Amino acid sequence: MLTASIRHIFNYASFGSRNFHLSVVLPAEPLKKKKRVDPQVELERIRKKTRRIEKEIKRLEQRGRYLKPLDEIEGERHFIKTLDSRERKLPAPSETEVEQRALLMKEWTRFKWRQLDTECQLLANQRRELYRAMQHLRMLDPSLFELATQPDESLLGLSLSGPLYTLPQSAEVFDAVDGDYRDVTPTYRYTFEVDKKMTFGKKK
Amino acid sequence: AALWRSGSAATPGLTRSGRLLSVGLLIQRKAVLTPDLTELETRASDLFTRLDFERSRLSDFELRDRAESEAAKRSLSAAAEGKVQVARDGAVITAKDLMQRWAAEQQAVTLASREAADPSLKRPAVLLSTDADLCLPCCPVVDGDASLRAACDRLLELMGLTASCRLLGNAPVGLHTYKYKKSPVSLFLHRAIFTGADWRSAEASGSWKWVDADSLPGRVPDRRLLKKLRLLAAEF
Repeated sequence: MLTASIRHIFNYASFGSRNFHLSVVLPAEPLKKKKRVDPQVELERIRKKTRRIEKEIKRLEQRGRYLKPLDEIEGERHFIKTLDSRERKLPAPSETEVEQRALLMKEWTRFKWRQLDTECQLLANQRRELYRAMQHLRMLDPSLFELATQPDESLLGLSLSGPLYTLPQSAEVFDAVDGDYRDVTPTYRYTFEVDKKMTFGKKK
Repeated sequence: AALWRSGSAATPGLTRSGRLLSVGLLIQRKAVLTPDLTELETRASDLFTRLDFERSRLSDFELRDRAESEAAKRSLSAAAEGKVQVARDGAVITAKDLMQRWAAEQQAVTLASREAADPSLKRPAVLLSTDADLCLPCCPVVDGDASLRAACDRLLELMGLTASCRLLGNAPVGLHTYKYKKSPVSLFLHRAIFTGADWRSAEASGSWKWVDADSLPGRVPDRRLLKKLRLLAAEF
């Protein structure tokens, strides 16, 4: 009897292609049960987020734009990408030209070293002369010496311009245009527009 | 007190340890025009310009010019082969047109001639007296002067150059000692710089004249003072 029942199972139930099959492999876990979200809570959450963003924008606008540290500046990507196409195709200088350039650089280096040496000696002599004058003043009148050692506040803000390459033209030759100066330097103001759907009226 | 120029009759002033104290002004005018380059400087400048150019990359404008030139060549060769009809659109401004326009604008600008300008403008100068026996503007320190700087301010006021000169510092930059009628004098030299718009205004009174470093030997009789002035008035 037991054998008959087992045989029945094997014949009709277990391994038949109709009755025993495998379902499709499931790549993900079954979906979780959907939670009910309170719309007011959701709105409040979005409102808080936008408020935080607007506050941050206002704070940044008040402080002004910070300049990036020089170490962090990577250069413009547009130029870096087109670096290869921007190479100048110039003929290589000849050996004579290279030699002449090297000799000129040596001569220039010697000239600048002599100039530096002269200027250093000049500075040292001027410093010595100043020291001598101050020592003499201290010997003659210590009170005048004390006053002479005080810093000169009027030197702050001193600005000098020149020299020019040529003298300015006379009015007959070039008459400068009179008029108001209008500064057209472009300035960029960053504005952040919040989607109106995300903003709702304040809670009463 | 009247303006007392070095070497002239002394007016009563402050004495310390038997020496008469006085202040002198070394009023300097910077070079108005850039000095001419020497032959070596010209060659070096040309070399550095050439090296800068060789090491540089093409700018956006040069890229545009190159692209337009190549496009023009292609369209002309295509037109020569009868493939494309080339119609020159006058409204399109190419890089070459812009360069021609800039060159024309540059031609219209005429600069004043450097050769016609006074060569002394290319060198710094010092303000000295026009009187043959006198040179630097100076005056004795009197009881009313709180400091040497105050005496210098008073001297500038006497000369009428308070608005166009700036004293540099409270301390003297040099000292010149000499004897006047057997009385020892200590002349403290202070540096001032001419900041006025027109450097010729200082010579308007006729008492003063701008003298450059090369002409100093002819104007300053005292050799020790001349050596000091050459040292202090030297430009870097």
